Amino acid sequence: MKKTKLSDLKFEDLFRREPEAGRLFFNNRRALIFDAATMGVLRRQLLSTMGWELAMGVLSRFGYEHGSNDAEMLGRKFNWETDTDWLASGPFLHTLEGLVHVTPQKIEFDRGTGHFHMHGIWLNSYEAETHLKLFGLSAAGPVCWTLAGYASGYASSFFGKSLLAIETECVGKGDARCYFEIRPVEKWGPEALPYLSALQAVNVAERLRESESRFYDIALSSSDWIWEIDADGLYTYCSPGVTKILGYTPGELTGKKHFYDFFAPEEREQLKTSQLEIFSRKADFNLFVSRNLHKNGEMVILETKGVPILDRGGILLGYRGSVTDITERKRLEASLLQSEKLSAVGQLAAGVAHEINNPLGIILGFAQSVVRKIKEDDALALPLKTIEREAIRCKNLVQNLLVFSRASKSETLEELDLNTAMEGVLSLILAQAKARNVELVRELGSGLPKVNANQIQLQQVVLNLAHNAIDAMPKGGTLTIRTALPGRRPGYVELRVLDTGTGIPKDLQKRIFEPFFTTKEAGKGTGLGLSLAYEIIHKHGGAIELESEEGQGTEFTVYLPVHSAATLLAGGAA
Amino acid sequence: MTGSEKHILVVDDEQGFHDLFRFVLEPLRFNVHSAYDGVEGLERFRERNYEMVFLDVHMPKMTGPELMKLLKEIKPLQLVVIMSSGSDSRQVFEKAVKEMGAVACMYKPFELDQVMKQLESIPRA
Ligand SMILES: Nc1ncnc2c1ncn2[C@@H]1O[C@H](COP(=O)(O)OP(=O)(O)OP(=O)(O)O)[C@@H](O)[C@H]1O
Repeated sequence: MKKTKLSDLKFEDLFRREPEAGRLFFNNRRALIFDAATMGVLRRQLLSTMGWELAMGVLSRFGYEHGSNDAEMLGRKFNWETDTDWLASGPFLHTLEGLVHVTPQKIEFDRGTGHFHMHGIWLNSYEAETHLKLFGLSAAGPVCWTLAGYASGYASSFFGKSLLAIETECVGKGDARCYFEIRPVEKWGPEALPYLSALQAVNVAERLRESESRFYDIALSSSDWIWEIDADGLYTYCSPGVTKILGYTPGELTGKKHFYDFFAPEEREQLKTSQLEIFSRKADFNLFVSRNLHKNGEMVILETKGVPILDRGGILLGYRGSVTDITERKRLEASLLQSEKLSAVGQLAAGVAHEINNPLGIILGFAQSVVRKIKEDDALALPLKTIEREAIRCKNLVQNLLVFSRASKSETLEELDLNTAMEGVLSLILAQAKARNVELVRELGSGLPKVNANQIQLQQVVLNLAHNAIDAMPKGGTLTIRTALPGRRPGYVELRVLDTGTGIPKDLQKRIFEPFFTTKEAGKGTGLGLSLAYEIIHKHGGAIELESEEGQGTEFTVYLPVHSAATLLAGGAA
Repeated sequence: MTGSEKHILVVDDEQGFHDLFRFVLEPLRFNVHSAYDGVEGLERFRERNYEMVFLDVHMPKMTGPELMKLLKEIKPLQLVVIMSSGSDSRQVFEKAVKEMGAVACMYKPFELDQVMKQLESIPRA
């Protein structure tokens, strides 16, 4: 077999260039997809999104891979007369990037000692030439990085050792000379550092990508919703956590929705503005709380954290972060706050009860005894009866307040049939309802499990709810009292009190459970009825909820734990 | 009814209750005796027989239930009614004083009928 010499290769014959079409042919076969313009755009994008170091690393590595493949391929394909010929052919044949005319000036190597040195001139490169035409001088850098990478890869593969090619002088014009040298990595001085750190950056980036994929694994399994948005606020990534939180699949958001699209409509503009203000400062944010609309129409309260994504130049590319659903936590906090308030009221009441009960007892006692002594038609009958009635009202007030106190917490719960307990108060309610032209509908469910409750307190709750309902229907209406097994809450029995009254405006719904909150005229309501009901149900391990539509009516639902569940919950302590 | 006049002892640090008991009960031929703390109550108790004793819970020197214990040691069958003005948990408190021998526990402000009901439970002499 005839040995190949470098001088045998007639490159002008082997290669055909079609610069305008961006095509290169090898032995008349389209050798590769070659498009300098596309490569140029890619390089510019790399530079602007990754910064120069990472871009340089990526391009050098890219060249390196091709260089080392080419060295292997040329070694196998030709039967070179000398190693030097094989080596020198490489940088000519920059197969992907184009054609580089290299004039090696000095090639020394000794496989035994590992000594390697080569330097030469890149006379012009087809690639660089096209680039410069398209992108001007600034494109020279990225092209050179690719070529240096290519030469490094080629020489390293040839020599079996880490060699680094550096452009020692770049004129930056395709038709001028660029000087390069190839040495073992350790034989370079500080001038090699930018190349090495660029390659290192790529390695780190690769490790980052690994940890990123680890991150995605976490994102996939997290109940939080991990997201990323671009500078316009459009979602570019959403983890599956979003489905549980907002009801949408990641695909329904990514590339389609903006971060503000789910904010509660009435707060959307304000939330959007405050979020954009944070973005404009490129600031991190933590604990951004917003009310959002779930796909099913329910409001969810979300807590969002985010950090800006910036490019090397500090330009904001977007944000990424996570969202936690805190709806349940907020509800719990609110109810804790509520019960703390109530217990404060209770403690205050317990503290003054003694001081109030004594004088009140004396007033009530005298009033009642005098009322009994005088005749109906006595002029003092009315004032005295009024004193008696008002004293009884005070007495009830103090008693109600005391229910909140810790002292009364130990009132015992017993196994109770809810319907039987209701029968006891329904007659009372019926009397009130009739007097106010309200129809009472009772729907007591059958076969309900027993609840764990204090009968007197439970009756008080129903009385209060019914009382409010009747008050809310000044023109008459229907009051429904219903007991049932709730579909949604296993382990509970539910009690509903529905009216067809005035309803409660949305902004007041939060406040009606507050002690002393009342809309009734002075002297009519103490504002304690609902807070008392709340406290009692809370102590029973139950819950009280309301749904109300202005002008339509109101529905209060009380959930009570069934007997066995209650004892389990309370750890047996009553 | 003459000669069958009944004697009631009220131990309470509030003057108003003494006045109230007198106002209500004297016309009904009850003889109302007053003491203003536990120690004085014990002295009064030693002086004579009472058909019924009303004890306030919160008093200086001695609480009502403490005094009741002493009275019961002297006269185990003495009828005692406890009057509470506090916020003591009702069921627990009531159970405790009844176990100690009280016939009833009334909560201030109580209504007149409750007092009358207790007095009716006094056996006729
Ligand atoms: N069924 C209802 N329909 C309309 N509004 C209601 C209803 N239930 C409660 N409310 C509103 O909630 C407020 C607070 O009720 P809450 O029972 O705590 O006190 P109140 O009824 O005003 O006083 P009280 O308990 O002494 O009667 C009421 O004043 C009323 O405005």
